Amino acid sequence: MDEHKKLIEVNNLQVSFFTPAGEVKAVDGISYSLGYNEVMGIVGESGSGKSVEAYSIMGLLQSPGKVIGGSILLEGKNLLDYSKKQMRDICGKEISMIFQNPMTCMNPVYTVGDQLMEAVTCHDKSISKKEARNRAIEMLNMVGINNAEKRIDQYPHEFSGGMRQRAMIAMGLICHPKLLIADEPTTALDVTTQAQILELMKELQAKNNMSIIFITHNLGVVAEICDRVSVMYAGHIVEQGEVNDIFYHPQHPYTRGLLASMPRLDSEGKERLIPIEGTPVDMLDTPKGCRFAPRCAECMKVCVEQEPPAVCINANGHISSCWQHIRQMKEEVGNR
Amino acid sequence: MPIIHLNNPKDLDFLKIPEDGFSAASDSEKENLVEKRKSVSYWRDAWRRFHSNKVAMTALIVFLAIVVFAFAGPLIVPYSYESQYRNSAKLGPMEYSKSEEMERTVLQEADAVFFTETIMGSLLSLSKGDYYIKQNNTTYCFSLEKALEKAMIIYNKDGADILTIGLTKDYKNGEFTTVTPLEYTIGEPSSDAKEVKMIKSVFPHVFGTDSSGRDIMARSMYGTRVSLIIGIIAALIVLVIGAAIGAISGLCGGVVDFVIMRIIDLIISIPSTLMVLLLQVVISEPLQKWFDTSTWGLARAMSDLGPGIVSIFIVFALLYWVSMARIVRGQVLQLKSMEFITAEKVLGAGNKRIITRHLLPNCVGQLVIATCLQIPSAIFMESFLSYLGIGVAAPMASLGSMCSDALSALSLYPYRLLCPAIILSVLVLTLNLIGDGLRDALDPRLKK
Amino acid sequence: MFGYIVKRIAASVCTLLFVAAITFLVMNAIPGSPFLEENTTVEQMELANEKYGLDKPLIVQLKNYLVGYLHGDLGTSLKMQKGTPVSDLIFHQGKFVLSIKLGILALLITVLVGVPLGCIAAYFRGKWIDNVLSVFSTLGIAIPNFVVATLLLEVLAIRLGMLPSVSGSLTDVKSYIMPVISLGLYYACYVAKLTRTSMLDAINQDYVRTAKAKGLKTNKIIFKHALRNSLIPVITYLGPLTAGLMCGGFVIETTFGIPGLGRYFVSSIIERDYPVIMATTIVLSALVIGMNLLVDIIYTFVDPRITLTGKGE
Repeated sequence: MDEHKKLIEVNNLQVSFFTPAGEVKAVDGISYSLGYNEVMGIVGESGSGKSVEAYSIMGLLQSPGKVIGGSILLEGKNLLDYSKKQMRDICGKEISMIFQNPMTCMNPVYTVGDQLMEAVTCHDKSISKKEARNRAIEMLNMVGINNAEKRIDQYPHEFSGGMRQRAMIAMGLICHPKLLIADEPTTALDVTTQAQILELMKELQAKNNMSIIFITHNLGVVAEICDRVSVMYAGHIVEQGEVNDIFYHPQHPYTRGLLASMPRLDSEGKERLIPIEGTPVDMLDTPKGCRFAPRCAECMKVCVEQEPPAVCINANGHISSCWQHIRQMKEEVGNR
Repeated sequence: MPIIHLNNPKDLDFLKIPEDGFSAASDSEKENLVEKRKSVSYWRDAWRRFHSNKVAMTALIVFLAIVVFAFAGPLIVPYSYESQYRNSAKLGPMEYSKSEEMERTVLQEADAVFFTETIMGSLLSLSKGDYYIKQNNTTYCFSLEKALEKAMIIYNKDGADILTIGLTKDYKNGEFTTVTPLEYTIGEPSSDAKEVKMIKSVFPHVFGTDSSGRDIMARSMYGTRVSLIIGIIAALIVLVIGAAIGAISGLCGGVVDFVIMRIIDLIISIPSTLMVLLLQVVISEPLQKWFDTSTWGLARAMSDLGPGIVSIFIVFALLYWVSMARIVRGQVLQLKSMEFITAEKVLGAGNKRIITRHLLPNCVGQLVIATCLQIPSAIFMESFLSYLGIGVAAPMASLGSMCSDALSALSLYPYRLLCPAIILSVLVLTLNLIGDGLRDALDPRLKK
Repeated sequence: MFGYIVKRIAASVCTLLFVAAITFLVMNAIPGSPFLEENTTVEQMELANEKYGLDKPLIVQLKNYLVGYLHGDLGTSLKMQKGTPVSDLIFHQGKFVLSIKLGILALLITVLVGVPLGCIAAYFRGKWIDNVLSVFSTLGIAIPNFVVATLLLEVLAIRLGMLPSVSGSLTDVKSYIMPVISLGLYYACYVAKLTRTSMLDAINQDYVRTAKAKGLKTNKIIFKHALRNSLIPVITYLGPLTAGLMCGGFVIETTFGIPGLGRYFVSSIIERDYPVIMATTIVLSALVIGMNLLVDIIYTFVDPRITLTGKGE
């Protein structure tokens, strides 16, 4: 068996923020893995810990955030054991990241080209300035920026929002990373630009043989680009599986709620959108049972008392953490 | 926790599920799960943040101590800022003049004294006439046949003669060689009798006295008072004018905004210090004239402050509102584009309502911070002007003018500079720290 | 770029004219007359007024001043050194050079000490070195410069005798030390605080996170990406800083007995020597306004966003 069948494996990752008001377990024991050439979506509402999780892969967590447990294996090597210098070599080269707001993610006082070339030269000291520049122009062309030779000497404020996000993608891909983490890359863009950027990312993913972790709260975006989906709620992954399983056979009440609250083009007649009642849990003071229990319509006594175990639904790695599955299994055993 | 496979019931064995675990949970059980945290208001939250900021809290306490020193201090210290105490010039901290030493020695045995050589009893000598003394609920009336000079009236509660007069020339080795009893009657004093205030103890000159015999601590108290009043009033003036102009500029937009912004640009590029110096000299004399002639209440109140201080206010009102106006304008422009303002406009609210109900409450945090940081700058400006000799006029004390006065004899009497300078520095320091603390507390986005 | 600079210069000239007009009006509002002495008669006053053109309408007087300035004529002193051309008083007697030297040295100290200290504090955020620097800079902006000046004078010059106590015309290097330190200390501390704050602000920006995600070294992130952005507020402060150094100059010159422009200005106001007041105000204002102009031009080099909008914000 190939030892590195998986590109990245996250095991029982725990990240806490130590605030004056107490410890916030932003990510509380999540595990997933991602193969080569695979696109995984991480979906969840604001504050569910999805960005924090991505930042901890990149080692970008800001104080007071701290990884307190688990492991992140990139091709079998634990990134959490890496020194700062080793992480610098990984970041941008093996894994790169693009961010939510293209308007503020580029330094306003340097040209786009300067910032692109910097990403090349800092990982490859031997490369000449000329070569780096050519690489940058090539990348800008690849992400669909016309007139790249001229554009490369312009400043970020001379680019439109969509253009900047394209330039950000170019910057992320310039060293041909194996993994791209995209933290809500389309959220700040308008809908047409969103579609273009998604199209571009899909295209580049196929062309460059890379994997993508795509963080979003937009299920429509997930359906469009992802192979696998993890649904996060309050620092836990409540359900993960292949994109079709999640969309057509959602198992966890929260996933079902998310899907029901999303408008669908294929729905017949006048279905109403059903919002999920209640508000997300207070992360400072999480309930001891299932974190979704207070908002769950199917909540049982055991849900309030104990955290639900992960249940594997099918052979494709569809996993859902809910007591309802256990209840069903018990009932089936009883009926037999 | 291992993953359970749906088609493998054996995986369930390790689970411990209570008997009725699968029955639906009641609403109350779900409620109990989430301990409702009380939602905290903006101000309470800000106070909590400020309260937990040790530096800012210490600064606040020190600042309040200075306020008490400035405003309650003069009630305790019996000296005034302007009186020049004879024989008490150039005393070091906690030193006593010869006459005060004498009073202290006499007071070790007597219960109260009146000494004509100091003005603790408000007069330097007692001329011919009727007087009365109140001690222990008894009024002693006496009349003097001739003026009393260089003498002490001594009150002794349990002596045979409880009121005696000792002459300075009879004072030797800490004692009066002869004292003459003072003839008195007990009862209501006649209508033209003057009161003679006895003292029971001699208050020390904690910070010493200056070259004219004025008590430095008393002057420091009044000087601090002046600084605080100037700082706070100037900051309030800047706040009101700046906020009003900024709000108008931001709300009206268009030509009004353009004109106001050009005026602001202009004022910013004028070297304000030069203007302050010029205006200070220009305004002072007409103001003094106006104070002298006007009977208007406000003029009388300002007259008590003196033209020097009032012209500082005018200068601040003319030149220093610009940064405040910019802050407010920026906030207004930012808030103007927000939905709730649009909603309010749709409901037909006028500009006035929008300003008072929505815009000001929303930028109040910024205003509080800017105002708090304006106070030390006004205090500095005043001390700077007074130091140059064109701010607060003598005999009114100001921390700046006290520093300036101290220069001539700095090597001999360094405490005359240090006392006001330290108070001034600590005052400005605490205000800066409180301002920083307020910024962290009121605008958590700015916190690093 | 060129057009922008021309526009800014034109605006600066307008401001200077405005300052001249305001100063003139304000100055004429000062009660009293330069010729008012105990034994002057009404006739003598009128004669003097006529001689120096003070009997003409204000607007004509103002025009005369401005026309004179255009020809490089700063007028003639009425009182302080009667009959001497003001330009002689200001420029040839070394007052101007003295004040400018002092100001430039203090400015250099402020920037060369303040900015690096601010960077160091931001770099070691939360460490002891940051705390020490914070304490010192907070103290530094709480102590008035005249106190610093007198204490330095007392301790270094009089008690320890290390430096000359009377600075006078600042003839040797040693005599500059105390005036420059006492003038620059407050602003150096202020600039250090300002740099620290804006540096920390820049470090928290999204583009710094991007730079980290690229795998750049911490030093490069701080000194390339954060520093240039964090210098923008510091540059903005240079304008008020120049004005502040001048204002401080008045006090420092008084304390150290330096015969500079600031001290001269203060006494000219008290003496009501109109041409001197006007000329000093114009010269000092021109300095401050020129500095503001310079700041605006430096801006366009540091922040590429500004050339396009043509505005400082």
